[in-house]
Amino acid sequence: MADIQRYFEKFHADIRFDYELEQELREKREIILEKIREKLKQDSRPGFDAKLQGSYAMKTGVKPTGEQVYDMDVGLHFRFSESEFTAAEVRRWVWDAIKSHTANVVSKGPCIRVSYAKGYHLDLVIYATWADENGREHSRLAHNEDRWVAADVKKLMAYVGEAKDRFKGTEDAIGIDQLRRVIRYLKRWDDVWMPTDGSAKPSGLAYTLLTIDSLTAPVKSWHHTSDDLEALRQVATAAANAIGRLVAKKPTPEFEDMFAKLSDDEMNALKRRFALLADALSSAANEPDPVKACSVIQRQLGDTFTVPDPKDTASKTRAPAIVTSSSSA
Amino acid sequence: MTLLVAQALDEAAQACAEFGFTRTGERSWTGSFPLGGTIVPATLELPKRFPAALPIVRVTRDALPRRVPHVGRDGKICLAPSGVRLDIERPGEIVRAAVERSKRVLADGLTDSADVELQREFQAYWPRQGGDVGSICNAAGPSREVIWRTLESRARFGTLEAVVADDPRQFREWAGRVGVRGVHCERALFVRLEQALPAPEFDDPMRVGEFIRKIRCRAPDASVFNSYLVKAQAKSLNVLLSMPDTSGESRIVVGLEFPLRPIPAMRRRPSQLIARVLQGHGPARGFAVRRLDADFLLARVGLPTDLAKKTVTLVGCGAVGSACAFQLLASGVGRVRLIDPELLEEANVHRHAAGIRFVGRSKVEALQLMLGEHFPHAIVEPIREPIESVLERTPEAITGSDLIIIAVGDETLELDLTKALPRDLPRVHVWLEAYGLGGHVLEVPAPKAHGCYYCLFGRSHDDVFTNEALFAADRQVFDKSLAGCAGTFTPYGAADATRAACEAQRAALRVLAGNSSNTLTSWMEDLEDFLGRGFKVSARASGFKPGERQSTTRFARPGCPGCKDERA
Repeated sequence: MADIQRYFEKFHADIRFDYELEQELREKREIILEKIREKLKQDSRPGFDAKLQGSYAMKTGVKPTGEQVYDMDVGLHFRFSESEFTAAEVRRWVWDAIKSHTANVVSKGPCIRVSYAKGYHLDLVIYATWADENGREHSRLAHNEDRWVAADVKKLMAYVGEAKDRFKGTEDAIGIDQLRRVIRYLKRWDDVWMPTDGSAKPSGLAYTLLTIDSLTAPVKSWHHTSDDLEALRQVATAAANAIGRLVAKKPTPEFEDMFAKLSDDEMNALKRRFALLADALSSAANEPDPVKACSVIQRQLGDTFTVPDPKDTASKTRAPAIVTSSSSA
Repeated sequence: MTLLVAQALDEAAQACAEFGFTRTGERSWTGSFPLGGTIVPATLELPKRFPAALPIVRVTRDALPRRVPHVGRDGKICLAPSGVRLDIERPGEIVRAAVERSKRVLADGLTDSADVELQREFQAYWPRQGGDVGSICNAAGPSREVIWRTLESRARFGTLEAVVADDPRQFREWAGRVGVRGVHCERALFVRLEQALPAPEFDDPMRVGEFIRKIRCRAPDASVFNSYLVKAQAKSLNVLLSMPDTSGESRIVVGLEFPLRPIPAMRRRPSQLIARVLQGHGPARGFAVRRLDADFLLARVGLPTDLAKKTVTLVGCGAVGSACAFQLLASGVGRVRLIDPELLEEANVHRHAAGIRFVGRSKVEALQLMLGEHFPHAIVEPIREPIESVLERTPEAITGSDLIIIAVGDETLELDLTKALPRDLPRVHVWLEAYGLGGHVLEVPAPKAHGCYYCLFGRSHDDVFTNEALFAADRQVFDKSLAGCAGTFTPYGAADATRAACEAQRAALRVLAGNSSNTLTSWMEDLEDFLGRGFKVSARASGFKPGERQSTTRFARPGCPGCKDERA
């Protein structure tokens, strides 16, 4: 195999999208949260704690491609029980505060989406959280069908965090572990092959759960450096060879399958795509020339994946040619 | 007498009393064992080291109803083989167990299995008179004439007085390696018996005629015996008898000297010459024969003896290489070629297998001498040249080998050799890392599989050509110098070199036995010391714990210039 781990890590650095990196989005978030807080205060409503959730919180976000836009999920955690207010009531408090914040504010199933002219949006997700008489914490999500839906963001985050902990020691130069890199590769791969949202496009959480399920331990080369190609190949192979439909159940209520929305035909198409990805990665793994190997991978992961210029490969490098070693006899 | 000793003796006395033994001294008792309707008188004695040593139980041999195995000439009963552990905290129980064992030995001696046991102990019963004789003859060979060389008394080999060899050349080579000289040469007879002789009784006089009849009926090629008897002109006739042991897997060799009756020269007709041997002149003298032949010496190694037919070339005779050479020969490899252009220097001595008396000689010659003394049957060929020039001038020195071991610790040279060596020549690379961090052995039984030394090398993130097997991070300086550039060395201990040699030895044996695939074996030793000196470790080191040893076959690199992996 050619030494292409560095190209994977460069690819990851190029596609990753982190909340900390997007100052403008952060500012928009603070403005809108302040607006909601003021309105609630003014109307003598209960306050909330805002917490990032989704790919930003998990640090698995990827930069959008094509017509896709940046988005950010923010959870508004109110401290009361589901019996005190209806879901519609609480959604209305928030809606009233921001309905005219931008020209495009819509109420979607589990969230209220605020879209900005610059092409990004914030999804606000409303929760009621409380502790029962035994001290047990409960959490419900306010759905736009006027019902409280069981949800446990904290537990979901803990689940992902535990999975991430298994990958300690695989961090790249920017401190991201192999698990999150592979999730990002898959999300970008999906964006390349399925550029528009729709029922056939699995959610980011679906890929996150699928990867956690398939990749139980770090995948390393014989010399103990991360082998992202092989890790990605393992996930793709497992998905391609899975019997029946792919299933990625949320580990928290309501334990829904994140691939459920795909029809059988869409599921079969997805598995065929996984098979192509696995084949391409196997072929790249056996390719001694890094230029050819990266070209094969680029066809799957998109143009952001760098194919080195043949001029820049090993024999033309300016790296030192005389180095010391510990080898002796 | 200390309290502890007194207490041990008290407990022993109590135990002896239980068996009806009467105390006759501070540490001795007398009693008897009933055996097959007779009473066998016995004594029990506690050695000074008791309870850290077994009691000594003796019986009166004349009182035994028959010959009993494991009862010595002086009646001492062999209670246990060596290597037993005694419960020194219970001296009384040791005595009880010793008495019970004695009874069992005697009782077993009356059963049918006793004869087999006696045969198994054949050599213990063989009479030993005079000094020892060594044999380097092929013990499995047919009956034949051999040579008997008396050794020069001041340069004897242990207690050996003489050595019997198949021919003068064999003796010369052997004597040259072990540093002895033969002063007198006679002919002797080597007789191969197909059936073992019955174990003789202690001190049983061996009458010549009777003995020769026994030998003749067990030796199908006894004709050599007759022809030799006719030719023998000496006053005595030395015969080595080779017979199968009870397992049938090995052979016992014992010696006999027949005194010959003098016959006037004019009456030396063949029939008379034979007759003079058969009539004998007093009893034959038995003597012990110490087997020094390769088959016997290598049997203890526990490995296939066809290793003796293998040739291994060893490139690099430094600390690791010299230890490798020793280990190879200890394993039974028959021929080792040593390639190294350097001289042995004082500074090498503590890490090198050859000692200070070889300083100033080339490393290969020093090893040849040292190894020749140790393994007289092996052939050690020194080639004092750099490997590059051997490949250029006398490549047959390498191509004729079954395996090449590369112990140079020079990555550039090893990369070069990976491409330069014939692709069908199996090879083993062995190298160490500085400050006892660890070591590596790469076995490549080419051409069956891919994965070579070159495959271990890749490009780091900043494109530096890197040995990815190493535990130490690249681009650190480990060399120390005691005398400027010419005296630089990488610090590691003799134990590290020995460990590496043992790992290389195992790899070599796997390759020679055909039980090998291309495998990198690495072991990490002391990490703390290395880090404490401010050095850094590689990514690979993070996969090892100190003391851990791992093997991998995953290192083959498609398109590697070294093995030209065609899977790509």
